[in-house]
Parts: sequence; structure tokens; C-alpha cells
Amino acid sequence: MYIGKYQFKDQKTAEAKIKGLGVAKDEDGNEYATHNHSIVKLGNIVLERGEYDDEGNETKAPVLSSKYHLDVAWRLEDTYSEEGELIKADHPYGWKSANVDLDSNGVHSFLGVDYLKHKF
Amino acid sequence: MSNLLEKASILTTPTAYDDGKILSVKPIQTFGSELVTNGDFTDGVNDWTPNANATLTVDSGRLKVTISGGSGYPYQSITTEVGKLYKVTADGFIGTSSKLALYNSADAQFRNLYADGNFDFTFTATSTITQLRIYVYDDGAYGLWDNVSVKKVTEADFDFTRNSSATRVNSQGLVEDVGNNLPRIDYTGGVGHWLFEPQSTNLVYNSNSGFGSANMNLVYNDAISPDGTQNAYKSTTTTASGALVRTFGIAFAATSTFSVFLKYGNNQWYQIMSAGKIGNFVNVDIQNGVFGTNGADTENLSIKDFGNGWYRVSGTFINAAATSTLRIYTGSSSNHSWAATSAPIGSYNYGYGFQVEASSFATSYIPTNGSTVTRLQDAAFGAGSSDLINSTEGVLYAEIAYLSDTGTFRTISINDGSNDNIVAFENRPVSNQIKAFINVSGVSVMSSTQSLTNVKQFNKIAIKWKQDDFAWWVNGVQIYEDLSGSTFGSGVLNKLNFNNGLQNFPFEGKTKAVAVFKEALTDTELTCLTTI
Repeated sequence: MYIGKYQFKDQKTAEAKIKGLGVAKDEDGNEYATHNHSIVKLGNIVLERGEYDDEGNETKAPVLSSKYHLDVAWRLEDTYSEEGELIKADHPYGWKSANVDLDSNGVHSFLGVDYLKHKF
Repeated sequence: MSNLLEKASILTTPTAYDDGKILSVKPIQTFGSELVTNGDFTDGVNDWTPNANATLTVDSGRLKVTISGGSGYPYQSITTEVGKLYKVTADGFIGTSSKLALYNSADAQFRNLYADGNFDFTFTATSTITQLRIYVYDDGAYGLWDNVSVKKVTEADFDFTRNSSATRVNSQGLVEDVGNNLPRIDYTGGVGHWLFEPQSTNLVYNSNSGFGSANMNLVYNDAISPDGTQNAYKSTTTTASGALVRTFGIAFAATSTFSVFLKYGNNQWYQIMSAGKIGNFVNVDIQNGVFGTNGADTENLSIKDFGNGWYRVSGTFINAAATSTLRIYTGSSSNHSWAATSAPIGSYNYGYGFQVEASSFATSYIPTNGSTVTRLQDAAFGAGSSDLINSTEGVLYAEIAYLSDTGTFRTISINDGSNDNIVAFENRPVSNQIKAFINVSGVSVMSSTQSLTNVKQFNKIAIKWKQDDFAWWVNGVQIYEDLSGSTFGSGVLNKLNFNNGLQNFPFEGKTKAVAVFKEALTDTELTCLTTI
């Protein structure tokens, strides 16, 4: 499994990219994913936390990213050459340019899975 | 009749698992005859074909493979049956090489060995011929092999994946972590069952620390929590009105489900609410485990006894404000209106494990510590073979409870790797509806959608198929019958899956038993099998 963190200019672009991974329609006409990757739509993530008083009232608004963010747990496996040498998996076509390389787990993580050990 | 399940060819109950496997009770694992010829090299190097880089000799009864170039291997092609499981074992001796590898063309994996050791793994055949290669690495080096063996395995264990860890309630009633790709036997409610959940994210950044409070003295790590350690907080009011514990800002979805663990101290009533919406609240009695009044935009209320005084309280906020906080107010009445609580100074309780999910139902606890956290989907599939499933007639049986009846389909099926040939029942995204259906060569021969009393409680369901005899039963009653239609040809059905055969619409729920019978049981037997 690999974990990728991505940012897109807006939600529409991100949704189109997700749809490109494969969808079909059920008997009621609703779309469902035909891939087995796990996508978490983080949206416009908080870059700087807001501040609140003792009553929980916001005293300083959080700063949100202008980009639309996704975390993806890719069900991708490394492969091997004829000589048995490891060929590492890579981002699916068209996703690499949206990849964000972090040195921490960031604002979201998968339970018990360290992003730093599973990133591309 | 009491031993009806002994007639099943496949039976899975919440009893045993392994890393990436749910182990079935029946059948008992058995092995076929040896498929490798001269795997112990008593006949010299016969039956093994070296590639251009490999030279083969026998040394002290073992195959010595000497290499020119980076790597080389001898291979042997064995006859296999598509979809069947095979067990591979071999002994490797590193010699002067740095690495040995065992490769099979079915899963195309190279399994490496860096010192003397042995191999023991399984693969599922994808062709009628599977090539086995035994590699040695490094120019001029040699390695040795012995006891290379491949045998067909008869079993009905499920492959299981969940690429994140998760939590469950163990047999002692405690919340505990479960590692990646380990199935969960969950004891919520006291009786063990397999738990299959969808992917879900806890939107609370810190689920058990770092809360805000007002008019409250908040002490962390004060009491034993539902996970059995001393990490529950104690909150004590310092002012009569508006005393609360809260999360920091949460990005609520329009439909969001909260869950929190609360324990009575000396005060009965509390109010759980979202600060962003007047209709998002519920008053709850944590001494007796009952609800008071709730807001107009709050539904699906649930309170579960976790023992030792702890309740897990959950509910769904609809039309929730986009950004808000989850708050626990200290109250004194069953009918406080939103955020309008008061209680005597010194009122206290205990709390643990705050969770908010963008869904219409609560799932198992997802601990967080400084970020939102996602637990990934449970998936179980690929049990059995055509040896264990009789295509021409049989019964698929399950004792299950669904987690929800909204949003999507959730399927258990016998299939051929597609949904063209399938026996299935699925939870519909309509309240309490289940559809039982059978497709033969892409043609529907039975399709029946029925409303059950409550699909979120355990039901015993069975589907029978046979030429001109199709029916399904729920809790001791036949609820549909179709006495015309063709059945499957011999050997068509070969897998039992917790999905629709195409790995879509995974089952999300609790399972006490799943079984397959190789014969169409009688009405009397089906009544007995499915009676609660």
C-alpha cells in the first residue's frame, strides 16, 4: 500500500480525477467506484488553527487552504523484473503532478499507518 | 436436525483468524498429491530446466545452482487448476550468493531469502500451467535448494484486507487496537461476531485529550476508561450554568454522527450538542442509559452499555453547521433546550473517546491525536472452490446484522468472480429492505426484494437454488418462492465473498455465521436452520 497526499485547484478538478480511476452505475443509476483505492476528501484543509475563547467562540478565524486536498491509500503493489529486481509502484497516471510531499503525517492520517513509511 | 450445520460444505463462524485470513470452521484443511517432480533431487537434476545463466549439479542430495551473470534459475512447470489454492514449501541454502528467491507465475511475486531458511506460502492459480523458478543471485556464486513442493489445498478460508488498524470490543468488553489486515471478532453486546465496517474518518482532531471547557474543572487521566487504562477525564462543574466540555473546531458534514463514551459520577443528565445548529442536541441520562428530549435535527439515537458504568452515546446531526464544536453540557433535566443547561456546582462525570463521522451511523472508535484519522474498509472474499460449492443446487446461509440501511448496497454472494453467475442477498439503500437474487449466465432467474422487521438486528437468512426450485427464507419463514428457472451448470460457482463477486458493494455489518450447503435443503431443514 502507498499513501499519497494531493492538492487540486478546486473540488471539481479533484472529483474528475477520482472519477477517472473508474466508476460504474448501479441498478438505481447511482455511480460507485470500481477501483479499490481508499480516498479521503479533506477539502480546504486548515493551515492555521482558529482561536477560541473559553465559551468556544471563535476569536480568530482559521486559515484555510485555497486548494482542495485529498489523501489516498493506494492499493498498489511493487512489481519485479525478470531478474527479480524490485520495481517500485508509482502514482497512477495524472496524479503525480498534484502530489504534495510532506515530512509529517499532516492534518490527516490513516489509523496505524505512518505516511512517511508509505509515501511514494 | 440439531446438527444441520454439519451438512455444510463451508462454515465460517467468529472463531479463528490469521494475518490477512478469516479461517473457516469447515472444511478442515487438506492437501492434494505432490505436483513437483523430483523436488527432493533424488533423481539428479532431471525435470528441472536451467535458464542460460544457471548450471545445475547435485551436492549432498541438494540441487546446486551455479550462476554466471547477475542471477539465474532452474524452473519447472506444473499443472494447476485456475482459481484453486496451492501451498508451496522449499528449503534454501544461501551458499556463496547474497540472495535466493522463489518465484511463481501465478502471483508473479519473488519471495526472497538472505540466509539459509525455508519458504512456506500459498498462491491461487491463474492458469492451467504455473511456472516455478528457484533463483540464485550474484555472478560466479552458487546456492542450493531442496524439498521443493507444491500441493493443492482444500480449504474455505477468506482472504481479508483492511489496510489500516482499527479497534474492537474484546471478550472482556474493553476497547482495544487491532492491527492492519487482522479481522475483528467484536463483542459489543456481549456475543462475538465478525465486524465488517466501511471506511470512516474521525473528524475530531484530539479524541481523548486537548478539549476545551467552560465553567468546568477538567482533569485528564483520572479514571479507568473503556479501553481499561486510566485515560478517561473527569469533569466537575464550577459554575451552575453553561458548564461544558468541548472539542475544538470540527468540519462537520451536513449529516454527521457523533459518538462519545460517558460515565456517571454524581450527576444524571447531560446534553450532547453541536454549537453550530440549534436543532443538533440531545439530553441523555448517563445513570440509567436513556434519552430525554432531542432537537429537530437530531436522529438515530443509540446508547450502548459498555460495562463498569460506561455508555457509548451516539446520534446523527442532520443539516449540521459546516464548522462547529461538539459539546457535552452538564444538565439537571431531561428536557433542557439547546445549550440552556444548569446543574449544581460540583456535579461531575467521566468522558472518553469523542468521535464525529461524516455518515448516518456510528462505527467503532477511531482514536485521534492531533489530526483527523481514517479507518479503512474491511473486506473479506475468495473463500471456497468449485469442489466445495455445488453449482447445480445448494443453499447459502448467513446470520447477519447490517450496520445501516442507507447509502449503498451491501452484499454476500456465491459467484464465479463476476455477477453474471451469482447467488446473493444484499441490503438495499431503503429502510429494512433486503434483496435476494440469482443470476445464471447473466440472466435473472430469481429476484425478490422484501422488507424485514429490522435489518440492523441479527437475522437468519437462507437462499435455496435448484432447477425449477428457488426460494429464500428469513427467521424460520419462507418469504419468497419461484418454481421455474434454470440452474447453473456444473462447476460454475467457485467463490464465497462478502461482496458482489466483482469486489464491489462489500458487506458492512456483523456476522455470526455464513455457510454453504451442497444440496437444496428441505423446507423442514430450512425452517430449522433459519429459526431464531
